[in-house]
Amino acid sequence: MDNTFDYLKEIIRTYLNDDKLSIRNINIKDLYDLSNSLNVSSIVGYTLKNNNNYQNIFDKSLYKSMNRYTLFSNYKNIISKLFSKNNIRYIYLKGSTLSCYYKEEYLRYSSDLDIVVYKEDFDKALDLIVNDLSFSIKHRSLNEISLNNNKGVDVDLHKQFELDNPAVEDVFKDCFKDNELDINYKYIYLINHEAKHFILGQLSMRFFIDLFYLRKLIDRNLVDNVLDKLNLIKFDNALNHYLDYLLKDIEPNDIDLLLDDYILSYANDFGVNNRVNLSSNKFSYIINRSFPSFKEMSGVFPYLNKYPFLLPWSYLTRIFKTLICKRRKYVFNELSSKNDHKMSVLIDNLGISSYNKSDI
Amino acid sequence: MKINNNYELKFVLDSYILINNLENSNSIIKLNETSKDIFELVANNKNIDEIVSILLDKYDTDKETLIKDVNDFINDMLIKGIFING
Repeated sequence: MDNTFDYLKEIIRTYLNDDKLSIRNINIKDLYDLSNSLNVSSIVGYTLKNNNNYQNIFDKSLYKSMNRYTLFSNYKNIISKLFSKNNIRYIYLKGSTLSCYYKEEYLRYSSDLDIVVYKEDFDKALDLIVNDLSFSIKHRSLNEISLNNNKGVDVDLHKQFELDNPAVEDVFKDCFKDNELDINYKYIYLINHEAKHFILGQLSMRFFIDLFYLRKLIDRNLVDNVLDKLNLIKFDNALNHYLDYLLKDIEPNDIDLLLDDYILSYANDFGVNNRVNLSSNKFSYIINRSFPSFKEMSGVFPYLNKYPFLLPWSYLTRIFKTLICKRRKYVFNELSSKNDHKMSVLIDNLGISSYNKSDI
Repeated sequence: MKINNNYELKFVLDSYILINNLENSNSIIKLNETSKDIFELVANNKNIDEIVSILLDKYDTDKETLIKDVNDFINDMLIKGIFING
């Protein structure tokens, strides 16, 4: 097992359990890069600090996290006032609604502000964000519109919870009463949303920290009833087992080990969301892994939002980083083998092989 | 003189930093203990004389140096638009 990843897991365990961290001889740049790819660099920096082992390389992550938290808190207020004044029915989702559970709210890093709007109000909401708040449309898809402004703030406006999954629509249909999901539905949404990311090759450590905080607060019977309706019980059980393995350093089962590989695989793409159909042929798989979409690349290389013509350069940068990184042998092995069988076994064991792969 | 509402003072690990709450920015302004005190006193509507007087009680320094430090910091904040006159 990768030593850096091993230590990262120990740091996460220390953070979640309030334990004492061992000091290890680890390449700190590797640890920073890995934690950054897995969206937990601010947690790692914070934990190292509390264990008298702080490294200044994490300053940037922590300040960025605080910047994002402050920014989104402010924009939430602005957007809430605007929407309320115009009778828009909306709910905030994901990161901005989860930070309150963390030890310090700013530690829960978010890259954008996610809002789901009642479908009848969507066009009006979009108009308000564009014209009153001077946002521009960056990307359109079936279920959402991504916007940003000239201050570098990103907002994702979602039309409804799931465009083509009636079971999910049914579960969340009454959730527009308040402007945030209650704790049980936050948990259900988290698991459902993670399932969609998972089959596209995405699994970050940050998800498990979210899971840790939410699962302590939910009505387990209520949640299980709903997850059963969504065919997500197996998936939920597997993720919770992995979290237990992470927390207690117990012997992992086969699924836990496959999830370890899955997380590392996501990290090795330098944080690019790996939207690749795992059942595609090897050539398509390699091409799609090597050249992700513009949206994914702009998440990793923000300068692309301002200078989209630099996309070829960003591909070269990413490929170069892969060639020089210490994990390149792992990356190439994984790319060439595709680990078809292992991942198919994993997806089948998690019960989500037929899950909706459509746009998130 | 008052604080521009777009700026907030935050505490991260053991540092005070100023964050622009309207803009995603990679540049962070870190404040030392004295600067943080001056910032908070301005936020509490203290004028320069009052700020100097309060800080003289707190810090073991001579008045001239303190007046210079306070003025330098306030001018810097005015130039950056973090403090606003009026």
